[in-house]
Amino acid sequence: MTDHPLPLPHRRGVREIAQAIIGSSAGALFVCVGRSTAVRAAVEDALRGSLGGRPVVAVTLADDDDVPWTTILEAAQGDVVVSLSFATEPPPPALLARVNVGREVGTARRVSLLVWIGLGSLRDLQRGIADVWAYRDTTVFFASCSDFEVDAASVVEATLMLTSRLAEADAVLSWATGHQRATALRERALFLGEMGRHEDALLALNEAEAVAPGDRLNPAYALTHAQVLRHLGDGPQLGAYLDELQAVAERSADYDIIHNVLRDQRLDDARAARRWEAAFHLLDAQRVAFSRYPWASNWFAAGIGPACVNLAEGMVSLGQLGAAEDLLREAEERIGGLRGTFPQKTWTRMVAAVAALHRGVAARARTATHEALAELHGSAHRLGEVGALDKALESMTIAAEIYAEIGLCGDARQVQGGIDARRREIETLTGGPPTPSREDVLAESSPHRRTERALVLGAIALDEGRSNDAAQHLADATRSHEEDEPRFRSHYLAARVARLQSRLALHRSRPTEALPPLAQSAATLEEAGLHRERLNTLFEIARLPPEAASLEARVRAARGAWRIARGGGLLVPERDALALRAQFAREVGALDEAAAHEAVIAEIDEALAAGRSDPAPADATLAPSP
Amino acid sequence: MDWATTVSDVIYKYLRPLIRQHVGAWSETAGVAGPDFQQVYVEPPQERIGSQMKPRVPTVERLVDHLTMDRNDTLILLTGQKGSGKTFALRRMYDDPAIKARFHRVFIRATGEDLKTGLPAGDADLRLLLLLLCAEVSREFNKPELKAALKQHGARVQLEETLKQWVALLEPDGLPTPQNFSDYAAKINVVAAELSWKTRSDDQRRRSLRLDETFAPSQLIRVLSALVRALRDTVERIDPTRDLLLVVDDADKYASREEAESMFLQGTHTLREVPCKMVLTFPYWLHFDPRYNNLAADVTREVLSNVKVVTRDAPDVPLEPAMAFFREMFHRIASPQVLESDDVLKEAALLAAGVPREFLRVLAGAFGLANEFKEPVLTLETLRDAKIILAREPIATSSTLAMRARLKYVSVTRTIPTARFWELLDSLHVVEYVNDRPWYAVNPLLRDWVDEQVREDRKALSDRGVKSKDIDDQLKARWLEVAASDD
Repeated sequence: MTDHPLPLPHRRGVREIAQAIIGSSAGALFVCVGRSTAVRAAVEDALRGSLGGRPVVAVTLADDDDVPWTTILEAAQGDVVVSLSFATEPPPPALLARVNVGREVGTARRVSLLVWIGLGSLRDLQRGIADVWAYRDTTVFFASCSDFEVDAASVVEATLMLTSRLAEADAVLSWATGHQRATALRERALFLGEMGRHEDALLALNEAEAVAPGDRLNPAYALTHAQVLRHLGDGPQLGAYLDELQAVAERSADYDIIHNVLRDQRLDDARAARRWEAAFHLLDAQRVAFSRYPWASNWFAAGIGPACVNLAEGMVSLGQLGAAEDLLREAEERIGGLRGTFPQKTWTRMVAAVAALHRGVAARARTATHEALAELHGSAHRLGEVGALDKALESMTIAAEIYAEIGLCGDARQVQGGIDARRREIETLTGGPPTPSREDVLAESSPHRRTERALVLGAIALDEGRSNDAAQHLADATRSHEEDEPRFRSHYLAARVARLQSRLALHRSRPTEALPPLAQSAATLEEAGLHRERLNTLFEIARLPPEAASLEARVRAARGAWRIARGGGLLVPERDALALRAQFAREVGALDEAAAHEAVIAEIDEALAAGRSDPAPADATLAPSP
Repeated sequence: MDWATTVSDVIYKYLRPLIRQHVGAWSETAGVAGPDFQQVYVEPPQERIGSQMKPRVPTVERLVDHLTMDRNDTLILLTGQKGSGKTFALRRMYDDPAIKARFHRVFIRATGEDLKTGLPAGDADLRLLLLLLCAEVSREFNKPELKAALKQHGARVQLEETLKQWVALLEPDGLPTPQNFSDYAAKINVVAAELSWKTRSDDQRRRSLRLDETFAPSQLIRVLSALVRALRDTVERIDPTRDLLLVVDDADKYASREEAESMFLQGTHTLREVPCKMVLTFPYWLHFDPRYNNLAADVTREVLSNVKVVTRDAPDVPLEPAMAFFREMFHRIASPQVLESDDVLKEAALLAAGVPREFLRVLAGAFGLANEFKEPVLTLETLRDAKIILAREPIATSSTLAMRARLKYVSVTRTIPTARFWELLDSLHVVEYVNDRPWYAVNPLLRDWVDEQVREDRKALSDRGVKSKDIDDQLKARWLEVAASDD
């Protein structure tokens, strides 16, 4: 027996399996996706309960089992349900091939079989037992954080490495003077910058400048200097610094490193200020240079890769997922083409890791939950390895949010606990929390920010019943949005504008004007694949009053919201969508349907309340810190 | 006729057992729960070829015609996409009155009837297949009427000599020396069955057998031929109008490249020498391999098509002949009162892409949701709700960039360009539409998901200033490149 209570999504899976086993006298075959042995044991326990004490026997196939069906059938004597797992993941192809040719025997003996596999090996199983797979009743997902690489110990290892190098620089500072001291200070700034302590880094840079002013524009430290200024959101200083670099570059006859640094920094500057056209223009210049100067392709590729990844982050934030994927692919292609020692360098590995982070965020926007978790955990792992501490913890934080959204609160807490522990350890090692990035300040006057601000003010005005003010803010938001570069207008802001328009129309008793902007927005979001955002718009439609939208339109919207929520496993939106569906079902007299929805709502509410105390799978521990 | 009248009965009494072919399709499953084969089998609609829309004789009828009208010993190789109904078609052919009247039928399951026989998974080859056939054919002599006839008439001397020579090559096994053909056949049955069992589970034994000239295909085909001729003679003595037919199902499950090459590419010329009519299933991917098309012309190849459910030009409009098929299939097992309307079946047929087993699976998922919602009937909207849940699994197995690139390529070009794509047909990520010229599409459950990504990719190139006429060409080249990488 296990005392591991199952969270709601897993309980639903158990229910489906139990119903099939009880309902069918012909046996059953389920593919169960999940790697946690604790979850598996809890599922087996729950199944025993649901089947009135019918035995559920766990069988693990050894890699060298020559007769797997004999093993299965020996366990399946009588009325036993066999819960089958593999000793290794992914299972060896030869073992899967042997499992694949026994399905008729299993069918003839009416075996009820659960075949367990980790999410990462699902495709291997499908390929390996293609014929058994074809007989499955269905696939049930019991994935948990055990299905992903959640090892964040490397974050701490990387921090230790940074702190030891910082200590080396500090040791030099204890005796060095002049040029040597300036070099050590800039080294110190570099390591502090990587730890996220940008203010301390700037202090070190300023001191270095005072000691050896001639090195201020040394290309070896120019990158650190510009990045520190950007993180601190110091636009004027950054601009002035880049202009100084520009002057040096123009005096230089050769195409040297300063050009590279400058070009990359200009591009990053444009990105941070949300001047996308300018950023892409600079990227295009790099692309041209890449193809024009094959002898220097490593240089250009080294600039293009990170630039693409950074721009991809911007595109994800605008809801332009296709453009983001296009950039991430290009980044990987450029990095993959690097020669010499480049592939071993930390930053090249970091590019791939950050790309995974952005893919994870994009997958979340699509409500592709498992894909998002796989990308985010993968990126956290790799980012930890290369010492990108803030980004690694950012990935894990988003993963924790997703676990909470899909009702795996124990897993969410497990990951969050890991984040907190790592953060504390890192802060102990580095002597304090990182300075929050103020890079956002650089985009303060952009149309995007102005639209955002106007929307917030409009929503507040509407909540306070100031419809004239709200109308003014809406007009400001619309104008700012239109002032943004047409190619790079945010789908998210457009959706928010539409929702504010609709709310204002209702507030001003113009119900017929409430639906069209929402309907248009929902269609645009669907086209863009932004299902998570579309949920918000569909809820807005479903909650419109009858005079604003027909019952059919509201029912359709509620149903659409339910589909997105259930497809992505998002519990709160599922509950909200079901509440609307229950309400509509009652309106048309479908009382049984309404009651069925209300029963699910009660179950979700109970799960959400209990979720605060749901433990994580016992085997889902984060690796211990060194 | 027993049929389902409630949502839950449809799922558990019919749809789910049918997905696992739990219909007593062959003798060994007789007596198991689930609907009867005769109740659930529906003749597929007539296929039509070309613009004249001439009806094409259905696959089963073509098989029956080949077997009953061709005077020569014929080897027929049969394949079809997973879920297309190969086993049902074989069963239907096997039970056809013309076949029953004309042939003494021997059914052989390549995977074995129990856990002791059958070819080893992942490592089968022509030798082992021939050995299995020897075991199964020699076992047939145990049937009382054949045993009696053989006892009465004996076998031709040269056949007995062939067996005698081969048995002499075997190591002493403690059995008494055979005295006549029956004994030889019995001994071969014991030896072949034992070897089948040992080679199935013992890698070492399998390796040594491959080096042993006693079991060279040239030897084994002589032995098998002698057994088949003797069986054929015996059958003829009982009834001079009857011939012998071997039906080998599930050989298609030996689908690794090495297995398929040994048994079906290099092995075909040997299998052709078996002196009787034989029907053998083979792996689906092989019929895309150009080498397969170079097989001897006298080997008949049949591909069991999925039901033609749409045309290329109107992929969202189900064709009436297909609907008649799926409608009848459903109404054989369930009352019309469990459906909101016929539109539900149309949508299910479209989502199943004409693959019968997928039709059952889609309906099982949808009825499951209706059951959860306590709906008395399955509505079209609930079926569409279920699509979201059914799509989770194929999406979860398509998450790599390479898989996505393959799916996008198929979605846009409707072709499968390289061997790398064949496995997508086996896993049903891609489906084959028929019948005039085959074309391909992503599984309809994945279509929205893939289309969305194609749209995004097109927009990204358009935003980069690529001319619209060049966008798809550039994307196709890029997808092919990514598709070639590992998953």
